Amino acid sequence: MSLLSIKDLKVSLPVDKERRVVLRGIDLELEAGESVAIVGESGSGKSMTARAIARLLPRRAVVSGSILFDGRQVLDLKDAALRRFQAAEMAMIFQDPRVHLNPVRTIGDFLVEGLVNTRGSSKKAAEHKVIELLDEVGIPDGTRRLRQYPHELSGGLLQRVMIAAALASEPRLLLADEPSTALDVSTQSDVMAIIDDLCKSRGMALMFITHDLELAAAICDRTAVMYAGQIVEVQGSTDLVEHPRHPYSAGLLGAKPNVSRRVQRLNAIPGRPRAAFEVQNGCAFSDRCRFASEECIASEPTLKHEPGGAVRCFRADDLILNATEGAVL
Amino acid sequence: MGRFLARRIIICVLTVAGASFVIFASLYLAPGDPISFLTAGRPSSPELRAALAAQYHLDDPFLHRYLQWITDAFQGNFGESIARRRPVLDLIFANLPTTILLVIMTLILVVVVGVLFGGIAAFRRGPIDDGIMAAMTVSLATPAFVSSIFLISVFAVGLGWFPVFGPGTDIGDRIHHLVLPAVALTIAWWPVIGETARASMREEHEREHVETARSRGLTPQHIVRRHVFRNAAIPISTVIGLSFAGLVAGTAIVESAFQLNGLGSLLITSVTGRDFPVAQAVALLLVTVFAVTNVVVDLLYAALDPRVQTSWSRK
Ligand SMILES: Nc1ncnc2c1ncn2[C@@H]1O[C@H](COP(=O)(O)OP(=O)(O)OP(=O)(O)O)[C@@H](O)[C@H]1O
Ligand SMILES: [Mg+2]
Repeated sequence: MSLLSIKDLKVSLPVDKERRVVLRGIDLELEAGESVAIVGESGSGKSMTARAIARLLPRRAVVSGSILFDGRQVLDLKDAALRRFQAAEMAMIFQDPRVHLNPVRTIGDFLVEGLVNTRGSSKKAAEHKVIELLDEVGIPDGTRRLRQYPHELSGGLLQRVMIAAALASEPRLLLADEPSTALDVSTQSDVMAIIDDLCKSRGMALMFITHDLELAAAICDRTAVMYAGQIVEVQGSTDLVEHPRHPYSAGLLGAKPNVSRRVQRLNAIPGRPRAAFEVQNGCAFSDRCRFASEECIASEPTLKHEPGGAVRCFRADDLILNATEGAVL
Repeated sequence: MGRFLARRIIICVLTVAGASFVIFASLYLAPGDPISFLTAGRPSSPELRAALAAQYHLDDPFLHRYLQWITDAFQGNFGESIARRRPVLDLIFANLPTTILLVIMTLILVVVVGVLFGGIAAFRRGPIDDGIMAAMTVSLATPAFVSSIFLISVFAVGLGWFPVFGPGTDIGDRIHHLVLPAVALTIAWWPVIGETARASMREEHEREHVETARSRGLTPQHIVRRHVFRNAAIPISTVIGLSFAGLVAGTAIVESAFQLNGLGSLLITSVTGRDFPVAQAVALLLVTVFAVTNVVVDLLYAALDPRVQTSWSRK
């Protein structure tokens, strides 16, 4: 049994008296200790997926489908049971640590808060533990840091504090929503390396949300590509980068400017990304796809499972896609 | 931090000094002749008028009189009341306890009622929020003397639960006498705190750091207490500080309505009666209270917000 099993997860949110669909049916499995990356353009629903798992969706969100965590239905959890799940089984790291930490409370207050209030640790024991954790995430002078306030620390240090806080509860699943995007370039790779190391050494499953397919491949076992509120392709990360199966994945790879290669590729995907609620019939990507056929415009493809992954494209078997060239027939 | 505080105190002293000049000048320039008041309008001989003018230094040059007044005031000598022939300071001390007690009682009521109902409105969307908002609007639009009359007629005259007029004798009796005046002032001022409490708690509750707290499985009560209310306390205490000044000024109306011998009613009777030494002294005292309140608010702000402390110590 998988640690996390998401089936046909649909989410809609109220926008000016209307309901707006943001997730149109997500299917994803995650084994214990495994890492999966979720990649896609802005607005594709990556954060909403993570929020649905953490039960942090906005008020009045309508959710359907199933999220099983270790066999338990996360969507049915309520009150104390929900808080126990959040406190003990999962942890979430957000994009901008500066706004995700309370500015008027100390780092120490923040770090021990979870242990003291949801685990019943004594303050002293909790402090002892978090100082060790700070050391593990590369903050050696923990005792001093506990007394500091968030505004006294750099973004990179704050994100390490967030990681330490996430580890404190010894969760089985870490949800990391673009954890390095808001940081200085110089600290981005450090923070990613810490997350990678700690997940591996502790056997913690990781869901890593990013825009960067190559970073995803460097960190995660598998990568899922999202478009307009759906997963369009899942594969082993290296396979996906080398042999993308969905034209959108190939386009994303082509669109990513890569300095290390000599030929500058600029075949970005034409058109603008579709939002989930704008999709009508047919494949959500069909209006931007070079290979769209009549079938693609008329009806919507399903996510077809195949050895090593899954792809949502009628033409997946006709196409041989190549990341360097964008795509060839 | 020390330097910032020193600067705030200097500004405070300058404010009081500037205000003292305006207070002194405005009564000097106001129409009506204090001597006619002193002689109660009766025909008086030029000798008597000259003697009175000398006693109250009415013939000295303006600046000289101002300096004389401010130096004396510094030494606690505000002169003598024209109307009552008593040292001004005695009058102030006689009237101070009522006002202090009234302000303290009102402040407690305003903060408790404002924060409580503002907090309820912040978290109970729908009819409860709408009802509290409507109550705030009505309350804010009701002048204090109107609610005073209402309270007197219902609770003092009608039900007889509270005394109608006067300040009372011992402390328990004084408090009993001041309940209705405090309620009247609270009706006027709780919406100010309530609105801020509602808006700031709502805003804090939507903050990302609250989302972090929720993702950690902390209870809603803990989140409201330690994150939402803790952070909203910063704007709330600023507004409490600001309304404190208005509240002190507002005591005048309520004290008159309930015929209490407080500083506010003393100010009103002395102004209307041209008892200028008293009016000047009370006005100066009130201005000083406002200026000191500002410094206290700044200190409170720094105590509640660590980011302010850091920016102070950098300056
Ligand atoms: N509170 C909200 N109410 C209504 N719609 C929302 C809300 N939050 C997000 N959305 C919409 O939901 C869709 C998915 O948003 P989501 O935040 O999951 O995107 P994302 O893939 O994480 O994008 P990014 O890479 O920019 O973080 C977007 O179209 C967004 O406009
Ligand atoms: Mg996002």
